[in-house]
Amino acid sequence: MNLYDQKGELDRQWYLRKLNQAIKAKLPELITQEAVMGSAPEQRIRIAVRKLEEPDFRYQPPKDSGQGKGMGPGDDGGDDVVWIELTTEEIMDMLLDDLKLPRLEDKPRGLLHGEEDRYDDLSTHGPWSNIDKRRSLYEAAKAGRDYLKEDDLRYRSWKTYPKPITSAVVTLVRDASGSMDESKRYLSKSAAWWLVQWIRRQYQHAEIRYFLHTTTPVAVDEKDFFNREITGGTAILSTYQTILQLWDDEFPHQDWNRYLLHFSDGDIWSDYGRDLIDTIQAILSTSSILGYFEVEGHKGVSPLWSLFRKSAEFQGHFHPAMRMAKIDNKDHILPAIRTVIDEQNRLQ
Amino acid sequence: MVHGTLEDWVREMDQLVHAHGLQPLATEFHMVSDEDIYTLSSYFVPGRYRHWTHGERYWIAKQRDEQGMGRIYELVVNGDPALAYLLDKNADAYNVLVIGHVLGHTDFFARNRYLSAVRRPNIGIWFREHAEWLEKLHRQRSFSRVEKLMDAAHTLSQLVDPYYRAPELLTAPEPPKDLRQSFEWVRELYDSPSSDSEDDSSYSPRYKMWPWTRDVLAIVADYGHLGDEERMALRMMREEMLYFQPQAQTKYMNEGWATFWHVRLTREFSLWDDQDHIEAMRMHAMVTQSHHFFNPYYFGWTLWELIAEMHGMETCFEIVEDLNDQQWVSQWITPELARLAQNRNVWPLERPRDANDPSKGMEYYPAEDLVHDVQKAFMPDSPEIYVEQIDAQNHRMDLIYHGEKALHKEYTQDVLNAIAYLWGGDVMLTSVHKIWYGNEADWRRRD
Repeated sequence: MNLYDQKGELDRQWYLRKLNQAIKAKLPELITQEAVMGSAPEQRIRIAVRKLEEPDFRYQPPKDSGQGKGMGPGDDGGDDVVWIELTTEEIMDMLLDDLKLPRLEDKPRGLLHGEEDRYDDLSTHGPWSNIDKRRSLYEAAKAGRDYLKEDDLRYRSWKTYPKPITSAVVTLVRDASGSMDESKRYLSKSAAWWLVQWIRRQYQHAEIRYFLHTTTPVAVDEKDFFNREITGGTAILSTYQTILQLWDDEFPHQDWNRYLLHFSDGDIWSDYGRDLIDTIQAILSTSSILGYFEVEGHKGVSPLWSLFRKSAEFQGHFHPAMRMAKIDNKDHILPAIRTVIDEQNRLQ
Repeated sequence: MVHGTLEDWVREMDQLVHAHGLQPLATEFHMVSDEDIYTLSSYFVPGRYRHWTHGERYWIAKQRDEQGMGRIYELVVNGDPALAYLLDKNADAYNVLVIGHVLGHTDFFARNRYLSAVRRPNIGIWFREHAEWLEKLHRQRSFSRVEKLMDAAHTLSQLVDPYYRAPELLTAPEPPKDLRQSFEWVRELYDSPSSDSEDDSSYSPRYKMWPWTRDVLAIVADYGHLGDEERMALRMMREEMLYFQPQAQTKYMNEGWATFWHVRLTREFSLWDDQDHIEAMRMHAMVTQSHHFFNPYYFGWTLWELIAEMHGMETCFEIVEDLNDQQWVSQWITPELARLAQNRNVWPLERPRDANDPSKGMEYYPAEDLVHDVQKAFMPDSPEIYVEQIDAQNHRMDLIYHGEKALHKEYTQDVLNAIAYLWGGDVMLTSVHKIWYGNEADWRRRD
């Protein structure tokens, strides 16, 4: 008696597909960053998701309805939550998978894997224009027929192969000066952590370099970048010059896509000179992105923010490599990352 | 231990049932695995069409069982013969009780006129045909397109109406032409010109209909811009909604009736030891937990017990025949009955002084208030929305809502988008608070 056909399982998957969309939209609210940060990729995290509801004609629920209502037929309580378990890795996938490094150009000495499609596969379904006549006839011949049946048709299909075509260096710079208090440090580290995770996942062979800076830059490794604190005033000229020097020595822009991501509160002395603007413009013209995350910056326009605007503007147009975003609290982290790392996004 | 096999239990139960004057439908009993009972209970019927909402119910049932939060014991299908599915991993004593419960259900099916009206032979095949039609549609059209169609149809499930009849085209008799006599025009010169209002009332275009019905789905299936296969699919889904509607409307009576009888039948069942009866009663106690008063098993069962005590069994049989939940509650719960229930300590004697603040303590619950609250809880809680007119010339549909309570903001917009998607033209809902317009593209874009 084939009554059941495993439909339940199939439809559960259908449901999960729909749920995925809903979760994706809500995930930044659902998970606390602390739960994901620093946990192993196989770590499972349980989150409660509201059941998906089909819309229907119903009354607007009164605004002040709390738990007080309680009684009523069909109101079994607590039933409208589904628990799902996701690994840290899956959460990452959902949040960051669709992001791509912007302005990533092919470079001759490539290390990064791009993708290439090759038509060297066969399938039994496909568009008619892709019918492989020889293979289809061969299938008919194997069955001893001299005419084609629907089942004989073979279609040319493709596989995607990785191919090294480009290379990228990402340089993360974090402001470690005295004005960066505990919460600013936390926010900038969180944002940097997400970025590092994402680069690791998407671009295994990308080079990542870390810098802390006060008035002078300090090249550090990943561990120190996230843990070490130094204090001092803020100046970025020396930092940018150092990075530019490092890039020109090790990562010439003919061979590398260069990314600079800077976390700061934007609190610099405003009496910067012409050479700082020149340095920034030099970076802009030879790098793919100069991304600036302003962490709990000024309410209005901070000196660094206005400096970047000034340097990147030319005749009313902004340099496409210049990306800026503000992070004022935890909820801004992922949107800010999206603002900076987004192919479509341009400053107006 | 319980003696004999499933067949013996069913035979004995059947004899007991008939001795009590019940006339259950012919019932097929099947023992199925837990995986199957999750599936069956989420589709309600074997072979029903696929949809993600069923997948959701399936998953929740499975999770609940695996976490020990509650198990589904049985599924009964209102068909001819009725189909009953028992869970094979349950203890035998439980399954004996479930058999009694099932026979209570099938007796209810047989008696109640709403349920009898939708019952049909070979119910499994009927649902399977629908499922196959939709499967075929999935293959012909794209999956997502059919998904949207089904989702849209589901939003209208509560508006289906078994009494829907296709509206007639309203045509006013045409004014007789050329009956003028010669020189009529001279008189017209001296007559006052006809007023605008008169003109309006004489205007009755023939491409409009005023189908004063709630059944949007039927209207859409009949007059929407749809392919024939889609039309058919919508009609099938509507038929299924009509099939399930009376079950939802008699849920409390039905579960109560089944519980009422399984208590009696297990008392008389002889093929088991006392230990098994105790075991079965433990399950009964679990199912009828009363910490939530509106547990259908508990509420329905106690109400049947009270009515049987006050008015006798004959009255109960008459009620089963004629009424649905709402009528049952509003006609048969009286202050006397509530007082009796409170004396027996089966219905709550006390209520919290302040529903939002349990720390304020409890107070006496007057029987009149209890009656009022229960009846209020059973009042229908969905807005009454009617199709006011449909217009063939510019293909529009006007819905109207006369109620005072505001409609849900997002959901109403979604449903209107869904209707517009099926209708393929302009859809408008007029209410006191707001006028809503359906946007077809929004439904198409929705994920």
